[in-house]
Amino acid sequence: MFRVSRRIQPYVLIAPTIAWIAAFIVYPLIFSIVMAFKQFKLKKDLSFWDMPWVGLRNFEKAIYDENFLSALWVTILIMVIAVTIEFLLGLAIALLLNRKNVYGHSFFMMLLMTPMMMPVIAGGLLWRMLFDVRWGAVNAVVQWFGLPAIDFLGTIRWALPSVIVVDIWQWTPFVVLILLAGLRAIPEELYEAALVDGASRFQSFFKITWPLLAWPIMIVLLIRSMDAFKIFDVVYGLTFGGPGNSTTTASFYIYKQGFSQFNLGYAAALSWIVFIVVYTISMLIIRFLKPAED
Amino acid sequence: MSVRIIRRTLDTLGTHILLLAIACLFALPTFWVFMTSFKTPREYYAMPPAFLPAQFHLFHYRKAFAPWTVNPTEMATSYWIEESAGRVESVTPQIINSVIITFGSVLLSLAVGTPAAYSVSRYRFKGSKDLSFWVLSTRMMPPIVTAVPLYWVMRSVGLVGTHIGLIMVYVMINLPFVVWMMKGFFDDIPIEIEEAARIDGCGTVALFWRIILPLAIGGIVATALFCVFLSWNEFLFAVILTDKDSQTLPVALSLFRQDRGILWGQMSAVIVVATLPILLITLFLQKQVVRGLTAGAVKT
Repeated sequence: MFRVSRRIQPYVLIAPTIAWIAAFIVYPLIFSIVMAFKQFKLKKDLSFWDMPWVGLRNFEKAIYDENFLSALWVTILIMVIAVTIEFLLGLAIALLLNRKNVYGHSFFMMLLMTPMMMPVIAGGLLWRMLFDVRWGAVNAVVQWFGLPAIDFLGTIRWALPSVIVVDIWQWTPFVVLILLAGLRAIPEELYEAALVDGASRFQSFFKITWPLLAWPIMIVLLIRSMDAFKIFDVVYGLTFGGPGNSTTTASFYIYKQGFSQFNLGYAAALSWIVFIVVYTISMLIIRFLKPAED
Repeated sequence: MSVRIIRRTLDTLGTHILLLAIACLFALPTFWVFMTSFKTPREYYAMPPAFLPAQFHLFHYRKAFAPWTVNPTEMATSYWIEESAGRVESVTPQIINSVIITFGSVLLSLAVGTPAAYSVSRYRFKGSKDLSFWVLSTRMMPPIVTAVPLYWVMRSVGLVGTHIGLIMVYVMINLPFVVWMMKGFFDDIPIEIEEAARIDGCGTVALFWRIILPLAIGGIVATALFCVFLSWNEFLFAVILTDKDSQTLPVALSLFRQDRGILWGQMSAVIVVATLPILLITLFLQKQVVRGLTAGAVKT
């Protein structure tokens, strides 16, 4: 019988996973670097080697591409506004849920998690229905207050806030999940000891909860900030980047360049720029929010 | 004394009312889409739109999933007239595609990822500590960065528009979660059991098949269900790598987005059917779904 020596066993077991990463992440990424330096147009009968090298021209074009810069700006705007609101709201809900006198915890969680359960594209379409200018439920509320109906998705002023609202609806529950897990991990004895020492509620929050929650807070801010650069499905369903390009996010713009204009080389260059931006922002977040090790 | 009891009761009551209000607010849009799927066009094309349907009609479901049951004369009645203008194709083929691709990718992800998880859990070797970083980093990288080159790679090997192509890409998306979650479950199995089996002369393969896997079956189910969640809902790669014959359900949904309004009733019916499996999974296995969702972010 074929027997694998115990020394190489762990490597044999992990090999398929490594192979997968190599084939579907590492190889495409290397390929993408090559693409970024070529004029890579999707045409019939044109093989990979026929595409002309253009050096840094794709990157040069990106820097002067107003639409791309606007897409980056829109993404960062969504990131800052949505993540701030999601964090504050999520923290409040998590603290409420973590109170000792709360019953029916899994019932509340179930209701809270429904937005995450549907395909993101469905969330976008569903809110398109709710935000409709003539028959939307949101406008029914607006008119109930005696205000004129608002064209949420058709005007530049309201389209971006609408996207942000959908993002908040969909991802605040995720923030709640992570922060709640962090809150649960704080040992009960600490609060009891603080109570014995006569600490007030505020004191025990700022001296115990806040510092011990520093790690989950950093993680959740990191994930949610990076997620902003992934926003694609919601925009696809809700506004398709419009009106104009007021809701075109970075991911959506790259998609449009690559798959409706078929400038794959340019799209690859853009995605590397986005990658660098994402990397820089995540490093900044880690730098400033990473809790000191004990 | 009694004042304190009253205050505590009020405090508890207030917390619950507040939580219920917030939770309902988050669930309301989903509830709305469920209700819209049963309404008549007259009810949802109204201002204000009806909150609940007067009668629960299955018309939209029949039209979206079994169009052959819809009688043409029924379509022509003024009652459903708005419907007859738009899309009439059924989405049943896309559901079948989604089921094939989801099952295929989940099985393959488990087959590839479980041994790796076992290896990371049991052996100490260089790089095994970077696992959580790997899970986190795949979570952070915008998928569009790999989607652009992957499209070309898949196209050049002829895998665009095939089920197997999308299945392989979904394995890539699922893998970090499989390895992360399964490692947690393997860590919970005491190593003494393995040592005892080895002393009894059990080989590695038999050990894995006969002892470890049966013990980890709960974890495997949980991991599989979380992968179902990921693959069933994925949209970006699906829209890039499928053609008309291999479209998945989310892509079918995106087709409802037409420039002049949407067929709301039919769209709602499809959204409900796309959401229901995941909603049921979460209903019964909430803890496991949470474990998957927070993978890499929470130290478990």
